[in-house]
Amino acid sequence: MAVKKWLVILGTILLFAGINLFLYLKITCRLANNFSGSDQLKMIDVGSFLPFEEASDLARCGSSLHFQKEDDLPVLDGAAALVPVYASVIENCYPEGCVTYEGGSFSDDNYYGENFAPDSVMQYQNTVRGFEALVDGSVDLFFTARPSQAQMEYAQQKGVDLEIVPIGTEAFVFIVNASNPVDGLSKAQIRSIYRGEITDWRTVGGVPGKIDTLTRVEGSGSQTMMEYFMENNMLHIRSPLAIFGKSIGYSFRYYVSGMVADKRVKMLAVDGVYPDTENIRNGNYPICTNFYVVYRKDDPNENVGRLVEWLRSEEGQNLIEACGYVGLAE
Amino acid sequence: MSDKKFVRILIIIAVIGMIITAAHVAYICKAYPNSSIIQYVARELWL
Repeated sequence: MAVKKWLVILGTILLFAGINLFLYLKITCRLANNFSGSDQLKMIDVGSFLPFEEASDLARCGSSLHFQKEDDLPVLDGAAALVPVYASVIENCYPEGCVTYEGGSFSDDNYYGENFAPDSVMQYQNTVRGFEALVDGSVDLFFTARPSQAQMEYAQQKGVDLEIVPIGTEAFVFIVNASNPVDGLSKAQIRSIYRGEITDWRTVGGVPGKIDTLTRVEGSGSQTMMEYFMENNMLHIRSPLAIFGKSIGYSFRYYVSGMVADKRVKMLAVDGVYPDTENIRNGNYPICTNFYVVYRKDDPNENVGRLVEWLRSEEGQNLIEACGYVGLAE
Repeated sequence: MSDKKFVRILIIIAVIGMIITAAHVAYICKAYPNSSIIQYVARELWL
């Protein structure tokens, strides 16, 4: 009898240990930020892209446009994936000393990360807060993927007219684990998966098992693009059983293949076309989009227009290509 | 072991187990929305 009781106690302990081990292996050990254990919101190591720092990973192409210290310098902000682009613009077109930090030196220990001073021409508030800063007037130029409907409505509510100018081309990509035998999907299959019509990998040529459809936070660049791709007909609530399955997610190509490249992740071909730079440039990859600079039409700073014009010039397009993106289609 | 002691131990273990599991689930609910999709896909277990 005593042995039975001890077995029941042991069984109860093992039950809870098993539940928590399962949760850990299936979810917890996969929850991670790319660069920081302390700040889950950081999506990019901005410290690697600081202008006027020798070790920074920026494009240095030179420029015929070069602002002086006494000029009215446009303040730049943008989405995480475009930090290398606008930091490289500052590196090539701005005078040294215009990027400043609270406390005198760069730190990313704050809740939102980076400590750019209010008078710095470089800011990094990412898509949601940065777009609001543009509308509110503390930022002059915002580098972003397609602005979301909510963002445009926010500008409209504030009575702000925005100019949205394409400066480059980017592919929207779908990703799976490198061990997943599926190498490609059609657009129709992807839409069916994210509408809950296809729920098993076997249906699309994979190993039998549930499809775990990952999504991003509303207002983020990739989520806005996904809503557009899905024609605003997307299932937002995942089946609880999906955590037993193998995942599929989405992002922008440069983010997956460059900034946070990971060999354990692969991009899927869509309609039989792999999203490499060549297929983006020649328009064969079917889910390409532009990325943009956005500015207020009533911005009195004339250097904003000069900079936008430069970004679309041959020099500006060369810089965008040197950052690893694809320039505007000819 | 008396029945009373057995039930008491069992309840204590169950309560501790539920607290740990609830805390674990709460952490997942908080961390999941802000986690990197790329890392989530990369760390998927394939046996």
